[in-house]
Amino acid sequence: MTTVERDNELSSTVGKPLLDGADDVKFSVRKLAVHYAELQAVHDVNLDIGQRQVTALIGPSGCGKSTFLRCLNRMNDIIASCVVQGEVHLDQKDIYAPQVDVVALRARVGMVFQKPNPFPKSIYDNIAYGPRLHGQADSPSALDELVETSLRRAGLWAEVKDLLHRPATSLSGGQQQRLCIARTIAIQPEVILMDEPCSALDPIATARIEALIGELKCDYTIVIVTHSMQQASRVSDRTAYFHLGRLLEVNATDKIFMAPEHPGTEDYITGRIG
Amino acid sequence: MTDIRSHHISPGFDAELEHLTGHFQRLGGMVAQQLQDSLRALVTTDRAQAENVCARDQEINERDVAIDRLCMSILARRQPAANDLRLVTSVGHATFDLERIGDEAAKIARICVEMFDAGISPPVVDQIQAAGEMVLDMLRDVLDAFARLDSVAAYEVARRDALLDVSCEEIIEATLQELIAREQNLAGSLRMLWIPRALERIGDHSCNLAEHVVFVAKGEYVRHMSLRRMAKRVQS
Amino acid sequence: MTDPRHLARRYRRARLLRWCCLAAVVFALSCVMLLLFDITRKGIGGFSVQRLSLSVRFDPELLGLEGLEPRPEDLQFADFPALLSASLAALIPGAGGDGSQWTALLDDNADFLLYERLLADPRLLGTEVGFELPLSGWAERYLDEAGSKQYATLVEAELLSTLDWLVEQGLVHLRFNDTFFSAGDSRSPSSAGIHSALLGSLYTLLVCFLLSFPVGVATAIYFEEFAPSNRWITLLEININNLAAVPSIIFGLLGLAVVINFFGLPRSVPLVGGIVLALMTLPTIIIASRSAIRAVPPSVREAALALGASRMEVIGHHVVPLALPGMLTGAIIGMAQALGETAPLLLIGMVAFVVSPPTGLMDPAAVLPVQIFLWADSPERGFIELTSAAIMVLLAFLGVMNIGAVLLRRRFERRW
Repeated sequence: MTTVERDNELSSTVGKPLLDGADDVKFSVRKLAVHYAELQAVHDVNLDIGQRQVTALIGPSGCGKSTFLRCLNRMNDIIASCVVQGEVHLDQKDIYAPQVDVVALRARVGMVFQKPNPFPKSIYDNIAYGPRLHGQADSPSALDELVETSLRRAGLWAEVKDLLHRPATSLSGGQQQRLCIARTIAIQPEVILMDEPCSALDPIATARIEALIGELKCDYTIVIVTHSMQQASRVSDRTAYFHLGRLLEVNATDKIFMAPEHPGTEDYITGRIG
Repeated sequence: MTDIRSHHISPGFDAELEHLTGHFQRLGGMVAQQLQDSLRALVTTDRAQAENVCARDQEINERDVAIDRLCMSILARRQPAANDLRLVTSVGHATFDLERIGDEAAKIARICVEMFDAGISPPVVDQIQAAGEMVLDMLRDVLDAFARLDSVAAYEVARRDALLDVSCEEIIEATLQELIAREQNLAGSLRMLWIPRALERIGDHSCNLAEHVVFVAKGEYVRHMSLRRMAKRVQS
Repeated sequence: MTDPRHLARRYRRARLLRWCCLAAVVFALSCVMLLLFDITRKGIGGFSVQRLSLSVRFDPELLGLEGLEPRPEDLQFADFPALLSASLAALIPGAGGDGSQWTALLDDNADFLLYERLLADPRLLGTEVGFELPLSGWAERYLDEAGSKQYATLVEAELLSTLDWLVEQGLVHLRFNDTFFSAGDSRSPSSAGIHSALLGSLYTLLVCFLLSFPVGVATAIYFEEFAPSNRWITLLEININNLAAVPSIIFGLLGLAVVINFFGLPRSVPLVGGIVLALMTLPTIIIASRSAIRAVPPSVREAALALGASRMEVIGHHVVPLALPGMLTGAIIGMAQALGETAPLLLIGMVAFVVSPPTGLMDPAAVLPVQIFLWADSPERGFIELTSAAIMVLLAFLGVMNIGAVLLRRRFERRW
């Protein structure tokens, strides 16, 4: 059975939503459906997310891509009316199983949000919050070191090393967003989810974050929701196109942006009325 | 060629693409006209017309640059994706092919002028004329296929190239025999051999155009592929 | 093109609106200023007192204390009025008689001050001690109003001229009225003070704050963070909001019925007053705290959750600290309301005549507004200025609370 045939059996998604080698799959999502009270936001999504890859989720507003992203670290749990059906496996383990601890899951699957949201504390405390919470640093010096490595990885160390105790809100928008990424890295997650991380940033700050994503993908699995197709094409390895709550197409990013298979995808990424 | 698709949200983008394809089609028309004129000059031994063809080549070169500029502008300012990206890049490539076809037509015209000046009557004119008609049809059909993004029609053009190659070989053979029989001004007459060569190159360029049509329409690279594999891609 | 006349009309309308708003502000401000001015004018006298410097020799003979070491109970029967009369007679020249006619110059309880002094130090017996004794109410007013002849008909001319003579001699001094802050309530204006009322208010507010703030904040957190959205919770929310609009006297009735009659706590004590005021303040605190919690940006919550903080950690580490300034503002508003509240306290008996300052939460006490209410009701002229003075103290108390609230907010407030 070829991949395409297997896909057709599973859903209406065209392209290659499923990966062949099981070792490389970080998340495997099967028959995922999300309801908000009466409204169904996500319909029957089947998707594999590859390890140490950047997977971009694109689609028009309200297409369910953010909802889908939030299913991956169970951030939808905090919305009372939200019901998630189907299976989401992280390393072959269902994260919606009753015995799964959400707190532990979120320590493995970090998230960066649309608007930079540092805590109204110092830069240092922002980074140190997660490790302190999870008891990841045994001593103050270990914590200092962790803060430094996290900031270095986020490319922010040189800019803030002398202002660690200044309020994080005094940083610029781009710096704040990199701080949020550093804060996420500090708890040593396996996956980083990014929900439109650059939508509030100027082009230079955006370019910095994109460069950072390129570096981080060596160590982390990254899933990024973006409204900027150029951004998806620049940073991602695979791209998934959502439309009206359905996953229409998943393919290598090159393929999506040069010759998408689904006419809906083509209309969206060429800027036609879909 | 954009009218068969749905429109962009930005009408300006639609207009630019239409502008680009319009220019491309006009250039295609001009090149076909050049080819036709050079062939007619050969058949009717009309020196003036042949010189005209040579002169008009400059205009074709200028249009080639203009289209290239348009492509660059769209790429830089619109960042086209998917079929738009394929269209714009392929129009760029195809324009290069058209310009080369124009060069070949001019070359035929130039050879005609030289031969007329040297008082040599061109040999095997009937055969060249037949082959020329064939090339001209191929060129017109492939331009038509480009306009409609019809990959099947484009494939048909590519298929005819083999036939053309055969008849060009025959022309070369016949020309050589004719020249040997004439036993006069051999050196000047040898340039005649360039004409079937030029026709053959034009056929190849038409094939390239056909491949671009398939790429734009299907998103598949069919360059440097056997006809059989190309057929498979076209039908998928 | 915009029609310039139309544009001019729009500007005119905008200007009109501005002037209306400004006029409203000026009106409100002038009302407040008028009130403050009136109260200050009436009350400022309450903070000062005219005193007569008088040298008194504690003559054992005059006092009827022949023994060298008098016991305290002996002092109670000593004749201090006679001593006072004699001292006055010694001071004022040309006086016939025993000087008792001059005692009308001094406050009624001037002799009591002499008694208190001797009681404190019995060894002073037989020695001479300098006193500053308060003048009587009419004398003080006479001096305040700069020799008004209004009193000529009421008071003997001889007393008035003597008073003038004393002032000329420099024996009468304007002094700060420390009695006002150190004494409890009294039937006599000159010896009445707000000490016990101030302490009573303090205790009552303390109880009120300690009860209502934690309960209010906890309720607000429950509603915002944990409550399921069902009909009962909605009903509860509506009721709490309505509770804020319930007339305060109802809370007094509730306190009377439940706290005093059912639980059997004593009347007139700060504990009961605090409980009743806490009930009244709760809705305000709950509503303010809820809106403060709601104002915490969801992005902060999300950030903490995404870092793997549990729900309790999100609330404890982020939501409550960020909402604290808003909660404190609500609490201070509630406290200010409670501080000025009279009606419910009347019902639970905090209207009693309390002389001695309360020593604890279970000691009968008055509170400032009730004290003001009582004094405003008193016929003596001296209470008019005491009432206004007490109002000024109440306002100052409020002012201090508000400044405290602002400082606390500054301390906790963070930008985001």
